[in-house]
Amino acid sequence: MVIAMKSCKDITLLVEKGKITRLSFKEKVQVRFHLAMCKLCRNFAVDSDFLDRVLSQLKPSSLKLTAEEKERVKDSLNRDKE
Amino acid sequence: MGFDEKDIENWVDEHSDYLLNYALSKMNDRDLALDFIQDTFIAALGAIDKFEGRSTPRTWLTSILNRKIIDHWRKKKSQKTDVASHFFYGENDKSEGHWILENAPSQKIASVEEEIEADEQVKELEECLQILPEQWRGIVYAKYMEHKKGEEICNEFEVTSSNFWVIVHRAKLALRDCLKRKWL
Repeated sequence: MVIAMKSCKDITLLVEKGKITRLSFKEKVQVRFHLAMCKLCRNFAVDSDFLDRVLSQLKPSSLKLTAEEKERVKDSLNRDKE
Repeated sequence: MGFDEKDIENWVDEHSDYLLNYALSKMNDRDLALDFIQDTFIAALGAIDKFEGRSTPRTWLTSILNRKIIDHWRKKKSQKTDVASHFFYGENDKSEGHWILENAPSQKIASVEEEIEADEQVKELEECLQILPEQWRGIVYAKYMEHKKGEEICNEFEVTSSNFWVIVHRAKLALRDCLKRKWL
């Protein structure tokens, strides 16, 4: 099997893809070889895991419409009916 | 089972806050979001005969609103997507695809994990999320906050799966870079 050299851009994309879906055997080998040689991409991979941890701590926002804003929506419905 | 105009008014009370949060996970402009919500209820009123309660009212309203947001993105073609364009050399360079050194991850932002409190990390991350294009941020929220599956996100945002990976990749490059500027 010929393993073509992939660029850092390709490899970091594969790192993200691999968290979402299964990589092929070839892709896994490409990522492993590249990360073994490339400190920058290794750092990206570590930070990517870090971002996953922080992002999963985000809480849904709980904004509300003001009473006037709700009334305005209801008014527009009544206007539309006429 | 029938729904009628009276139900829609109750739906404004029950669902408009939810719809506002939904819209603002995908849009920056609150006034425009409120316009879209108003249009959503008007569209629902016009199509109430076709709503047979096969989905919940909330799901139905959300899908109408989502349609409006996606059309809005399409019209506003000028979305800034250059927030992640300066990390790798481009096609015309002999170093194509390699890190541009000054923007490369030469240090790990994860190294601050112990020093900065979790609450503070989340707060600064939320600030950084604001620099992302609306569509990317919506996808990040859907993936991490609502824990939606890839397939569901691709349907909701009308992107292919490879587009989805590319957006997550670019969003994380941009977020990492933004946090680096704050912390390192």
